[in-house]
Amino acid sequence: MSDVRIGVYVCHCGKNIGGVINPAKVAEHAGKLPNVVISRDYVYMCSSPGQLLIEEDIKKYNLNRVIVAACSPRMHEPTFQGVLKRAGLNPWLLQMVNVREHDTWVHENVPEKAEEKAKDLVAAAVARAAHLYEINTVRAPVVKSAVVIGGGIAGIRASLDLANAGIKVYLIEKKQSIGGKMAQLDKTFPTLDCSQCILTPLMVDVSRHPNIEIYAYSEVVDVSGSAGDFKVKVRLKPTYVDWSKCTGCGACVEKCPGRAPKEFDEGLGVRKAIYFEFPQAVPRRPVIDTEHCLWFTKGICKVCEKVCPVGAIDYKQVERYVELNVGAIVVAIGYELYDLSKLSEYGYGKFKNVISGLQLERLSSADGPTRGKILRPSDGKEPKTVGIVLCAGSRDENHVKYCCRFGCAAAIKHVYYIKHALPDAKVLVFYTDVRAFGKGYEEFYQKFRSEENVFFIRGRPAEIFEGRDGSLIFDVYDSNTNQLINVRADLVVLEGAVVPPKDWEPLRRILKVSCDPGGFALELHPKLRPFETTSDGIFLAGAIQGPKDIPDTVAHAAAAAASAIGFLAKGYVESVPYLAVVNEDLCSGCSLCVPICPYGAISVSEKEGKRVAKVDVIKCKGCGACAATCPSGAMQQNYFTDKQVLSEVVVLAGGAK
Amino acid sequence: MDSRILNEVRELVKPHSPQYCYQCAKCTSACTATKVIPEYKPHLIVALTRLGSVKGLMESGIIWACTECWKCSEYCPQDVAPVEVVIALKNLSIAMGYKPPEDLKVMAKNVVELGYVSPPIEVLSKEFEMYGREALSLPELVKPYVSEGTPTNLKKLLGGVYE
Repeated sequence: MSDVRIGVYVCHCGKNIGGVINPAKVAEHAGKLPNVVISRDYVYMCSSPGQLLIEEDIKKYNLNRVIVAACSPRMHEPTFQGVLKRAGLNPWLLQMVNVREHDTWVHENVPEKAEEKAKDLVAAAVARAAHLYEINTVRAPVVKSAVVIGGGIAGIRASLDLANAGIKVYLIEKKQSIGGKMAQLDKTFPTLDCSQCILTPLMVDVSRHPNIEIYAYSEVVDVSGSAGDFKVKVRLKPTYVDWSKCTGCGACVEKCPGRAPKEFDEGLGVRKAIYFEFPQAVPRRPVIDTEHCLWFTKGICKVCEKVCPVGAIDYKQVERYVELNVGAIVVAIGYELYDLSKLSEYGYGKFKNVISGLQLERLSSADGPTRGKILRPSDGKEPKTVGIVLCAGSRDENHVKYCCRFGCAAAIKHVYYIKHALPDAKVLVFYTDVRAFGKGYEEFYQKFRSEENVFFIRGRPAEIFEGRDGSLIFDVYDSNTNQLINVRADLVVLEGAVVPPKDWEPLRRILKVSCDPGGFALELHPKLRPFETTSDGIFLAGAIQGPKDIPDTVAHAAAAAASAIGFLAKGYVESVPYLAVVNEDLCSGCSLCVPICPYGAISVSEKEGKRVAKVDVIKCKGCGACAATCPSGAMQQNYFTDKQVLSEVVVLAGGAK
Repeated sequence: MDSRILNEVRELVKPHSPQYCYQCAKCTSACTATKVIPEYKPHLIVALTRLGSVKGLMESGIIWACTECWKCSEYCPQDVAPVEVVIALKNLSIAMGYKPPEDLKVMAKNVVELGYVSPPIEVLSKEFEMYGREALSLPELVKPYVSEGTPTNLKKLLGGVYE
């Protein structure tokens, strides 16, 4: 297109632009500029008559460039690109000039100068338009399958939704069973459903679903490829049990002489060296803990091998790797509890009767270390006075700045556990604010704050001391009644802070997902796109995006799955128009652009006897980092080439007036 | 209600942040002084400072009850450092012409005459035995150097409290 024919359209945007400057004058000025064939102004260029005006002009005057001076391109660039398409032009021959946000809105008080600025901006766009060229995007097919990382309630819900939509799902769980934190809970607030009763059927659904394949005791070690076509490398950790032979009979577990603290009971119970994570585990397959197994530590025993009826024990098992090809990845790895021993003033880890909320869940659970009886760990006696401390480490500049979002409701639930198991016990809840925000939570709070011998005290213990009998002695200032209360409690429960999983950082780097100041995965938009990430095809489900209770986690996971289904159902991914393109004659193969690219889209390879850079058009997101880095100007970004940008700068700097 | 006092206190306690106090009263739960003088409540002093209602605190002299054990500052979840707020208020009250408590005069006199705020005293053990420095075989305290200008400077610092 050597013959550049430009049409310039200046919009009034009602009074937004027309009330400050005279668009007709701007159009008149533009009409005198080189290559401009026609220039007009109109009250609402984005309206149907406005669009039609441009469309007809394109045909009538044989225009091959269109400039619209109106609002931000974020607002109406797609609208006017549609006009060009309808008139048979490539949409990237459009140039928007923002004379509203960049001009009339900010220079309302100096209309004459605003009009001059509008003329200058249009003149710069006219110079730029001569260097515009057609841009065509390419499409690549997506692989209709997904990896879900993490088998807690978020991962379970996301997997089921994806699988029910006909998508093949690989569910990767680092522990030997799916279920996550929810499996450890006794009951769930505010309805007090038994946690296992509502969770385990879903776990079974996952294991039986024809579209779901579970990789338990596994972790994602590498991700390559790009949205729609990821290659996910998974490490299957050695379990020392051949799961394909194992029937889950449990004979090995029963006879094993090795003992270790039970992780599932938060260290309160004891398990064997070969063990199921918990009785309802899915898959119900055991693993050998090599740190506590007598064969691995002392070279004796081998009882499990002797008792296994199917010969599934394999002490020589080594780790294995599989590579999965998927279109989308859902990250659902959840959260971890903050290390409460860091709050030295409360003595967690030092005083046996200071426990975490999750430990109380285990004490209250029928399959827990005390078979559901709430007994204090030091001497197994029933506590008569229980203190519950809210915000233990949360909302604290020295520990975790943010709110855990479920401690308040959990504390109210814990009041129920204690009053239900020990009706005569006295419960003191030390709160700063009770944030009962969820559906039914305020009613839940109302019910339990009215119970006999339940006291909500607006204050926070500062230092807890241990008495000789293991009880806990501390002062709390109650700011509701303005008095210092001396407390002697038999058991103290800390509703602890929530943090992202400790081992999340390497995975985060593999996935190229950003994180927020708390270390949680950063969503694409906190309100409008809370389950997507800046990386296409990677979705967030549940507490890895930020602390969440179960209802919010499930809603978030279902939304992430819906978003992933939408992405996969479309069937293709499209390259961005602002692609980086290489002029191979200029490229020296210096490779400076390779590490700069945040998407790993650039590679340098041998071509016709010289090394040149190559851009993966699907991976490239058009950020322009490589183009800015390239020392020779060989790397250019579509729609933002040096020629295009500099021609605009020259005019604005006054060079071509 | 007036932010001026808060702003002055903020300047004095930098980099701590009294404006972030959310009244959990953890400071008062920990406070050494509260256990002896229940009217002394660090969280309330911070709240009153935020409102600018410090006249009562200065008139009553309650701010001088702080033992400066610094526990409130250690435990505060919002880095408010109530003890530093109290110290700032003490300074402001002298600058504004409020008289400090009589005990301070004694302390000032001790500094000039002995070199310490308080002379060494005997203490009672759990077994009801008195212990002095001698009984603990500690050497007799040496009087630290007190410069010639000290009385004048103390007078200036304490708004004429030391005569």
